[in-house]
Amino acid sequence: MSEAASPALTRRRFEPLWRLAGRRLALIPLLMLIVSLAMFVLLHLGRGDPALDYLRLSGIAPSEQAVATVRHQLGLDLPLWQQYGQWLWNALHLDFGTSYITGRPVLLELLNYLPATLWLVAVAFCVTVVFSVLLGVIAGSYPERLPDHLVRAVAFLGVSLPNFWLAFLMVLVFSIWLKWLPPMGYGGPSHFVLPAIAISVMTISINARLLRTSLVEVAGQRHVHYARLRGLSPSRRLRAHILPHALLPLLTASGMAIGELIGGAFVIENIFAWPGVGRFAVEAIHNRDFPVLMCFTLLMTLVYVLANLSVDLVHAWIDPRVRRRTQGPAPGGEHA
Amino acid sequence: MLALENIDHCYGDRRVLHDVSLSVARGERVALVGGSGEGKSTIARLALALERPSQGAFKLDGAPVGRRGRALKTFRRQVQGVFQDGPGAVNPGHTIGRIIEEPLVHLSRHSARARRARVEALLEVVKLPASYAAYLPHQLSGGQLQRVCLARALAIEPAYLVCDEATSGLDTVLQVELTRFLADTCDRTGMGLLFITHDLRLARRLCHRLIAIEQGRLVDDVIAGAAFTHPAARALEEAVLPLAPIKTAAHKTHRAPQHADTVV
Repeated sequence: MSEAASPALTRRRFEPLWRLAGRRLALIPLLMLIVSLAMFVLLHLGRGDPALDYLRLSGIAPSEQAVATVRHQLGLDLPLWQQYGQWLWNALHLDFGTSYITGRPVLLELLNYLPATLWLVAVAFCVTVVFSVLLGVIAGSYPERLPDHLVRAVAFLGVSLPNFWLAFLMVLVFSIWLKWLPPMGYGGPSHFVLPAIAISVMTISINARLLRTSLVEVAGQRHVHYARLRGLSPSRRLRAHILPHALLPLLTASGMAIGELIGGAFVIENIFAWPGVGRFAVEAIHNRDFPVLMCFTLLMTLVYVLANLSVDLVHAWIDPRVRRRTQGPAPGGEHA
Repeated sequence: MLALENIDHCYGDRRVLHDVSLSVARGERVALVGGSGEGKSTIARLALALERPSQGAFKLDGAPVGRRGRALKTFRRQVQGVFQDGPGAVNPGHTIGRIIEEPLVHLSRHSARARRARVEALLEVVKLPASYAAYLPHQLSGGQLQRVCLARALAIEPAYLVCDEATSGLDTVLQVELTRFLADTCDRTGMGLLFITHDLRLARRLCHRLIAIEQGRLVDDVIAGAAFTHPAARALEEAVLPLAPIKTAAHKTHRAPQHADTVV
């Protein structure tokens, strides 16, 4: 409509999005504080002494004096609340300490590994979205017919296969037998294929079934049925009336999928020797590298929250009802 | 002429229509009356080619209605429908303007500018402000949405309109206003109307001809002023309470301050 192009309406359209984004961004510092406190307490509740690990990794004999010195150096001899306060003060200045393993600043180390992980997760996310929609639409367009049964069978197989086992299987078939793709390492596009598929297969299987159900449900609604009266072809009905509504549950699930993909990436990075934060974090867990684990947790929380915020903004942008919930009173009517 | 000839229709093993023959001429207003579950809505869906009859012929101006492609599109340009459930009949994610514009996009060759002008004109016709074009369905009342559906159905100026209980969910004043509007439109444009209802009073007020249906069979066909002859149809008539005089002007005066926008 003509109003859609007017600056006033454009402002009205995007205003709630900015408001939603602002509100959610404002909550991030509080969320990070809670996560950091919880993580700090959990790490210190665990067994073992980081000072001993530090000495072991440094190749120094763990004498009583050496342990005491290291504990003092690392601030581990202070009361827990003081340790946290010190860590928090430094963190506010973007100083997350140094890694016990490498002796380098933690933030720099993680930022060094993070791009590889984010690339992998981003590619896996794209693969997930494309194949979820494709398979979901195929299954939802032919409910209870052969394409639907085939997609459901594939999806069933997909959710049943653990990603690490699928990764080994794909390496065996595509790298060792067929020699089509590299078995491990980080480099060109071909290196992304196997890890991205291994991470995303389970999420694709779940999302395709979710979309299929959603499509069948929306396709049965009266307004879709009556759209035939206006001369809309089946494909136009799908694009204009079915998909925009059927995709909404998938969009919500995508927010959670990002978490699953990040989690999956940590396992898969170890199998494919992918130089991402996953491998680094796993090493840090084994060696009780507290500064790395603290920084890593906060970084992942931030990535997860921002990814979910993006999903919510896209949701609000696609579904005008969500947008208008934050607007003023409706012009009239009992539905208002 | 829109004609259903010797139609039998089944859902699985259940036969819901028996040898139904019904026709609506251009400019004619025909009411199909009957109780719930008698087959009225099935006839509406058949008359709108949303379903195909199990047996019998469905013709528009003497020619069988095409099943798909261009032939079906030609039929859609000529025959439109309005249903009882306004909120359910519109896409909740589309603006009112887009909803009304949709048949113009797919069934006509109007330019974007002409379509916008037509939407504004249609909103005015159904007594809704032009600004409502930017609003979403959940921001309007059921009565307002019903008028939006009517505006959408009339957008391409169809030759025939099928209204399936289109006024049932509305209050009495709005029912009278809508039926008056339909009568005016039919007289002005020569549009044929198949008005499906269980409200005999409205049917008599609006239509030239009344057809009664019982258990999937057309049992009576009389002109508006005449009484039904079939016992089942007469029973329908006897069930109607005496018609109270409708004080349209007084209602308008009464409603205007609270619902100025809903008065047609």
